[in-house]
Amino acid sequence: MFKLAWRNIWRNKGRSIITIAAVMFCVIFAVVLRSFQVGVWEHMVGDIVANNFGYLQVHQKGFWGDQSLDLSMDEATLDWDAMENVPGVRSLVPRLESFSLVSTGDNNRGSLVLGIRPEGELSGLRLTDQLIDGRLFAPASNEVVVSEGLAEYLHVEVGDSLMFLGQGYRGASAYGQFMVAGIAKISNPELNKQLVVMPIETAQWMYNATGLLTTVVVDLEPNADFAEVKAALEPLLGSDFELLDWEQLFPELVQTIEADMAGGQIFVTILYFIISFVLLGTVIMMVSEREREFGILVSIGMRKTTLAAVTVLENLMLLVGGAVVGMAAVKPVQFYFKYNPIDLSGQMKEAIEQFDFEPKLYTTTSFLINLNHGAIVFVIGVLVSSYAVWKIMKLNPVKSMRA
Amino acid sequence: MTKVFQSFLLLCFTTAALAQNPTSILQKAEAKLSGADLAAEVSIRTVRPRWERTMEAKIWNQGLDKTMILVTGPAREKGTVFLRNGDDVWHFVPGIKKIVALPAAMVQSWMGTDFTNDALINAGSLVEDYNPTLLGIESVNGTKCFKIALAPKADAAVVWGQVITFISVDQFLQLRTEFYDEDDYLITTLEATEIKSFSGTNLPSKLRITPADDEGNFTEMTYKALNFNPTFAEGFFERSNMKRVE
Repeated sequence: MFKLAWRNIWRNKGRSIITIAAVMFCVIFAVVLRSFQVGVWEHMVGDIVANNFGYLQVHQKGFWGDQSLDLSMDEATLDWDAMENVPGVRSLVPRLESFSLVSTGDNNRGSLVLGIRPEGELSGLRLTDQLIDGRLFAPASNEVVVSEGLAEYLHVEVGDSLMFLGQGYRGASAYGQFMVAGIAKISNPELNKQLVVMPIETAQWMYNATGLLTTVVVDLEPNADFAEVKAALEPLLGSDFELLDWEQLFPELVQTIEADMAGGQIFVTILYFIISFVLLGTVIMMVSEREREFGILVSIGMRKTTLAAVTVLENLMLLVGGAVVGMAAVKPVQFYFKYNPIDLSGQMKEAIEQFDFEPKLYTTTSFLINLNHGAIVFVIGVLVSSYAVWKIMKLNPVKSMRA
Repeated sequence: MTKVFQSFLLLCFTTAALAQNPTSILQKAEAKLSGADLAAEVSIRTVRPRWERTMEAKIWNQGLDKTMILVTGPAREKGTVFLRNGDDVWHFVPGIKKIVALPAAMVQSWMGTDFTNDALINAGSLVEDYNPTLLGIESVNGTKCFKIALAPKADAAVVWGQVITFISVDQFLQLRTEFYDEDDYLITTLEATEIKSFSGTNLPSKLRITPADDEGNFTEMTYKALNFNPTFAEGFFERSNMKRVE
């Protein structure tokens, strides 16, 4: 029976190729569409979360909601060793973050000040790859690295000095005059507009917050599950602290992703409707072309069920073939656009940048999407094949042979 | 008969009070402090649920539009100066030896207190910026006060949607002022207590500002000395004096 089906496929190459091609393009379209959608978000989450903010952050309770320096924590109250020994934790990254007015004398702008130790930072803030001018600040020096957008706005260059003015810890005033050691391009557009990075000791001095941290980022091992690490870390922290995962840190991001995904889902559903009818068309074509042949087969004694089974088998082979070819053919496309994202330009770029998203379209290379959509197209194919079964079961051999 | 007479007197008094022009009540109250020339020494205590902090400062004021504030303690803030002269507001930061111009909208907190920059440096005048309506007489901590509602004039550059102030009937002192936003939510309350005689003039020596939303937060400014006849040297309210003033 298998052999019979196999032969049937090759008997009419043209028809088979059309069916395979239909399935293949269906899979390719669906997968490319979803790859871009998932890829853009994957990239953004990776960029915002994994490279800049971390999947998990420890703060004094209430800090994230209030963003107030008064809710910072004493370095000495954290059990660093115990936390670092939790499986899945690669390192703990201390930070002091707050706001300040940054002024050149002529221009000023409200900015986000981040006090860090660059060598222990997440990859997005290690400031080695990001520097586009100058150099990194020396440890504990009166030097800062300014983000590209902010430097442009303030018209500052390497070697210029900047004044800082703000609110320090517990009502103290925060002030400082620091030299621009370097300018860095931060991949997150929002940060790139307003970030000033300085040694953590300098930030602590400026905010009158010696020995205090606002944030400890938990850097995870590459394949650690943040929920598991979170559960393991929680008992190590007293009730004075909060341990937030990225979904709690950025609920708006999670919501935007969900909304966008739902929109994409609808689009893909519509696509599948179209695909279903295309496939149905090929099956109808196949059945009507072979009506005479079916009639002869039945009249010379072939059982209808056997005939139906052979036809379904043929179809399945074509579908599997088409889906596999489609899944494979789309792979290079996925890889290409992951590393060579489509750079948007013009109005689209401006619109996207307004939402502080990077105006680039990335793809994901997750094979799960291919598998998923391959399977969906396959199921549709099986459903559509039932038309052939139905047609064969009610076949009248005499009529069909005269057709 | 006496009772009737008493009620008649009371009626006369109340009518007389209500017949008072709210603008003139406000003017009398304002004449006591804002708009006067003065030199004061104050201490400012900021209270938060988990900590508090006290700053010492000197304030000089000439007319409606010249104010200088010099912070004298604690050490980290010592020498910090705020100056308003007309429309310009400057801030001298001794730590970096720089004078910074402050933006026009100054609703942010002044040196971490509950006072806004606007309230302390750029106070303006209630009479000039608002249309008053006398609502009646109410008692504030046992003192009879005119209750006056102030609606901002159309062209006034003010941050409040409505201000309700209580001015004492006997001494025309502003004992309590409530600040509301455009949606009629109470934002902060300013209370004046501990009336003392400063060179013959009775004035509240303690001003407490309490934000409505943050429980346990308030800032209290205490006048330690108040001089109504200061003499200002030529150029006292100039930018160049900010680094020298003592």
